[in-house]
Amino acid sequence: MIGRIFGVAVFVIAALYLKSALAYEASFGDPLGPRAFPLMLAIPALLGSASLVVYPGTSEAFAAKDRMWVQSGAVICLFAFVFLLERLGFLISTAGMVILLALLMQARPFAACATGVVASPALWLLFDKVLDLPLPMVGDWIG
Amino acid sequence: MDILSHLASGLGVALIPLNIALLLLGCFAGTLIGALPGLGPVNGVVILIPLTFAFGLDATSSLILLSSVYYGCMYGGRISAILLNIPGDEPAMMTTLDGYPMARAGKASEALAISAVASFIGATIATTGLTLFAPLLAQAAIYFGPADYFALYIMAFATIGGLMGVDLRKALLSAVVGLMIATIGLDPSTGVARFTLGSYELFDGFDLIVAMVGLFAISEVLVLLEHQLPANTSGLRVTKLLPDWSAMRGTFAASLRGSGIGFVAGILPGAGASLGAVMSYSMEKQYSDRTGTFGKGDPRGVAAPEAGNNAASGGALIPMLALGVPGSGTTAVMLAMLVSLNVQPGPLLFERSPDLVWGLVAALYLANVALLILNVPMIGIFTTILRTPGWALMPVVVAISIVGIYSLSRSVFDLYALLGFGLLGYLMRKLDISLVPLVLGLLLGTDMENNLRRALSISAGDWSVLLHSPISIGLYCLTALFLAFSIWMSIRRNRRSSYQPEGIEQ
Repeated sequence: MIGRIFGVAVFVIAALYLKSALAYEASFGDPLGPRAFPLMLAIPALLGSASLVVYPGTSEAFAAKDRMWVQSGAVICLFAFVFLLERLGFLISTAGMVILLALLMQARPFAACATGVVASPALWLLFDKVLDLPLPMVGDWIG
Repeated sequence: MDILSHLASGLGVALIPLNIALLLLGCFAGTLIGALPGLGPVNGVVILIPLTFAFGLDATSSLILLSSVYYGCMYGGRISAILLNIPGDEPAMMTTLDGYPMARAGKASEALAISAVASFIGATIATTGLTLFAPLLAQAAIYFGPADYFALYIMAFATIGGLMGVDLRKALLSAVVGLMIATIGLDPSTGVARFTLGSYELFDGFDLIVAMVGLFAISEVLVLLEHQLPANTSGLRVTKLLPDWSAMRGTFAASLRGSGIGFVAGILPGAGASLGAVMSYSMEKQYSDRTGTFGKGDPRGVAAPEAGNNAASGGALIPMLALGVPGSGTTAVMLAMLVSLNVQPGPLLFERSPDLVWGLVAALYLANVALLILNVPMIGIFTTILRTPGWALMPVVVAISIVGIYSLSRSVFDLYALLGFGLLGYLMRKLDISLVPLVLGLLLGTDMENNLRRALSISAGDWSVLLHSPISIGLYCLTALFLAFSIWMSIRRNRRSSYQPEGIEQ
């Protein structure tokens, strides 16, 4: 089922891609212009995705339901980390992400917190001080 | 001897203290990354790329570091395969078959030593092959015109899916999607903004490194979370420090055979180290399993696949260096790094940057020696580190990957793209759609389009130019042969599998 949905999604994207490619024109430059190569791609993409909708082929089993919750938790945690990185600063957001991910991986609460609290400043020191790549230590919401 | 003088000057480059330090670091990190279940060579190389930029390394040093990691991973994968029955990375899968039974029979240190020596033999043979054949291939490729490159890229895409024995449609679709993503951004020759959806952040397209870290490293986290991490690592104890060397005597011939098969598998596009290991193991089993000892702890069953996967990884460097066409995910990532450092890969690499090519080749010989030392007398270090629980390690690895990307571009947009590519990568893996063609498409897309447009500029728009040179005609013929062969293989496989009770079709 997911294979079919994926096929439909790729098909729709390829159709939109084809539509916007048709609009590109340049009267200068090379004889081929910016349009031809995308057109050469869009057509096999449409055919390939359509064939996936009709005959999705093999796929692997997704995780059991309880593991899917864990996976979704991790994805939310990662997006939240990216969202908060510049707002809360590196130290807090990284510590939070490491702790949450460790908990999702069945760490004991104390061990997870210890990992996050040690790893976050250590990484900040590594990147900001040793490698000289400045990171926002505290974010906009705080500083 | 031209090659020897090149090698000597390459040795001069490799022996700079900085490069030696990077080489040792790469070997150590690579062995560790390879040994950790869930982190394979692609992930290892991908995670270290931001660090190479951060150190401000030049292309030669970066490539030495990444290649040492690549070679190191091939050594490392066997450690957890033998001790825990969990392959540390995909190519080590075959090593579990005889390695784990050996460990259970109390011969863990023998199995580790045999596989380390086999790895050394495989990698050394492959590196020698690389030294001899890559310059020849590069010389031939100098005569390639734009139309021939276009044909070469077509061949790379057509063959990469076919040999992996997966659904050909899916591999080709994956490649086309990669190429489509590569067209996003400003068109280099006319300045038209293509597929940017009005967002200026997409004017440069998606960063190659961002896409690769997402596709491989982030999706791997989701794969890991499908099951509980193995908590019991008590198997990771090697009681004897020095192995019983007599067990090794019978394995040299197996290592040599495995190396030859693996090397050829590595050169073929899309085959890579996993196929090298699988083929060497099954050939060795057919050749020397007279009494049914394979699968029950036969030392030759440990030596052959280990020699095979190491030889394959050396072989995979040949098309990467000589043609600029990677044959595997890991070599694609290494090429992406070169592109990011403004080094144009391709056959001219040997002429334009001899220091880079020969420095790398010399470094590979040194890395092999370093890896042998790390993996026989110093194996205890790795088995100790491996007892670090996964819940402590993986979150930190994720943090390093994400922060590494952020520290390069300081763009939150890139991080969202990174996570998006991670989800895409996971979905594709679940649907049995290989990621390697997609990565290849991302990497080669711009070049492929440029060569096509250049060819048609020369011919003033006449498409028949694509079939004018004997080189391009030869390449298209090879492509057709490959495609016919893989279609024939998949028909045969389908026929065979239809006798089995039930597939996992949806």
